[in-house]
Amino acid sequence: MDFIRIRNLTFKRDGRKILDKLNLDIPQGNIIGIMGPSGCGKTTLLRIIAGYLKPDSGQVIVDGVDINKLKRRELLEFRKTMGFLFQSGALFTDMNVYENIAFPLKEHYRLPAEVINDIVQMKLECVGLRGAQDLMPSELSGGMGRRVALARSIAIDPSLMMYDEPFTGQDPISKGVLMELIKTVNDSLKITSLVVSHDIPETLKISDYVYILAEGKTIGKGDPASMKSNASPFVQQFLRGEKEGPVTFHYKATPLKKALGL
Amino acid sequence: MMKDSQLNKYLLSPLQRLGAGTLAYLATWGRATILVLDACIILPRSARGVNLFLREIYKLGVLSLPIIVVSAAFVGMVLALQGYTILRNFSAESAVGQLVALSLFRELGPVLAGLLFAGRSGSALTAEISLMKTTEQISSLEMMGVDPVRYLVAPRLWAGLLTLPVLTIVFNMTGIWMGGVVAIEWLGIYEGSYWGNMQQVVSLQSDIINGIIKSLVFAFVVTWIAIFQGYNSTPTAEGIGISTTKTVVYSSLGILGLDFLLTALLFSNI
Ligand SMILES: Nc1ncnc2c1ncn2[C@@H]1O[C@H](COP(=O)(O)OP(=O)(O)OP(=O)(O)O)[C@@H](O)[C@H]1O
Ligand SMILES: [Mg+2]
Repeated sequence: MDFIRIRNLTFKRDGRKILDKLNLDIPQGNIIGIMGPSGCGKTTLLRIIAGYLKPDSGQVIVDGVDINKLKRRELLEFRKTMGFLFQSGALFTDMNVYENIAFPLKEHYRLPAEVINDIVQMKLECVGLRGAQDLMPSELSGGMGRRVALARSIAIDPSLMMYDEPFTGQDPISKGVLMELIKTVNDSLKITSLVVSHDIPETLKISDYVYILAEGKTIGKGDPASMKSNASPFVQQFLRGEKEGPVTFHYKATPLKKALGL
Repeated sequence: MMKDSQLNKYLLSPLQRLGAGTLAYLATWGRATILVLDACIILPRSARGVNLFLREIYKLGVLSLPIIVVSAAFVGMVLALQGYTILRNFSAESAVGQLVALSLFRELGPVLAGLLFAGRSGSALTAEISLMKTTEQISSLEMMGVDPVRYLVAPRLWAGLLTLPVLTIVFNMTGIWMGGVVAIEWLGIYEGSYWGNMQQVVSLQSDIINGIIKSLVFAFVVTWIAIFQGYNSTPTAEGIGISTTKTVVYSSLGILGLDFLLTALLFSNI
């Protein structure tokens, strides 16, 4: 039984189809890479899986539960088993680093202060920011903020982790550490991880299986080794980062000539 | 079919726009009502909840004290001065105490404190919440399984409801006291007649309590508008500015309009 099963998922914004009859199967315990050009709906997909956006049609089953049939209370309860790393970090700006990470623990569980402290220290150690625990989010660099957000999202040991662009804004060393971390978290807690990313080599390296999305559909899927030899011109264009090809770099528009009045 | 759509475009579009506008308007009212009803039933219970509530009281109430006290002082002094110059024509200057007190208790206290509260605390509330929305902090709460209505909205609503009536009482006391300073120390009204006249005329039920009822209504309206505008804002930098402006405009109009209504209901014996 797959941990996440998505069937015929369609999602529209202002009449434009962002996701179009998408099917995905994500087995338990794996790291799944989701790649695709900017604006193709990767963040949207994660938000739908978390039940934060409602699809126009189709089914999303997570751990045997149909996400869209849950009532609001049940959904909030269900999300305690999910960790979500926002593309923007989304740290609470009125709390320092330590309080940010302790927040989900304090909200959901009645734990003695020492236990909370131990957990926070361990998570901070994982992302290498124990020395920064008293800083406010405004005093962090973009990359540091993202690592704090990562520590916060794994604070309550979820059974599904969703990472939205974890590598953006990280230097090569942090990237390596983060890849290691995503793998360790996944394997030691036996959870399922979804990694959305543009960083192709990093994502291919840590994923057990990858999906490539474009224009609302999966244009390629397979394990990382098979991706490189994938015959699809879509996949090859994306992996090599070529501008010309079956995937268009441009947002849907009228021809440039027309816009210039030629 | 094609012709129909052409027809629609030219003939029906104003009508459609009116319909769509009305629907959107009603939907906004619906969302605002649901939000406030959801928040109303959540009272601070746990130690954490009480903590959040107290922090909001501090931000909305204590931080507004300077502007409330200073404004009230000037309003009280001006009232005494104006009242004195008019009442002297009728040799009734000793009634200046009751004039200051009644004006403040019935009208100026609740209304001016409400307007100041809308400008100082309401706008801050909206800015805070819409900023949290723009930076995805509210989404972040939801994704963690924390209900933003319980965590963000309810403590602010209850704090606002409690704070403005208290600020109004402070406003009234400061105004009356500073009015007294001007009347007694500067204009030379006999101290006993300033306070004595006031005590004889002002009634607890019809003046003081009714004034507080007014301020309770204003508190509800301002806090509701402020929270909803923040929660419903467009998540952009521009959206924060727009929703903050809307809060101040709508709640000021709301206070002045409702003041007329409440005065008609509470104070006139028609
Ligand atoms: N709030 C919104 N309102 C309207 N359209 C939106 C909104 N958010 C996203 N979109 C549209 O949905 C599409 C998918 O957005 P999404 O954020 O899922 O892309 P993405 O794949 O995560 O891109 P990136 O890699 O740049 O983060 C985009 O084309 C965008 O224009
Ligand atoms: Mg994205």
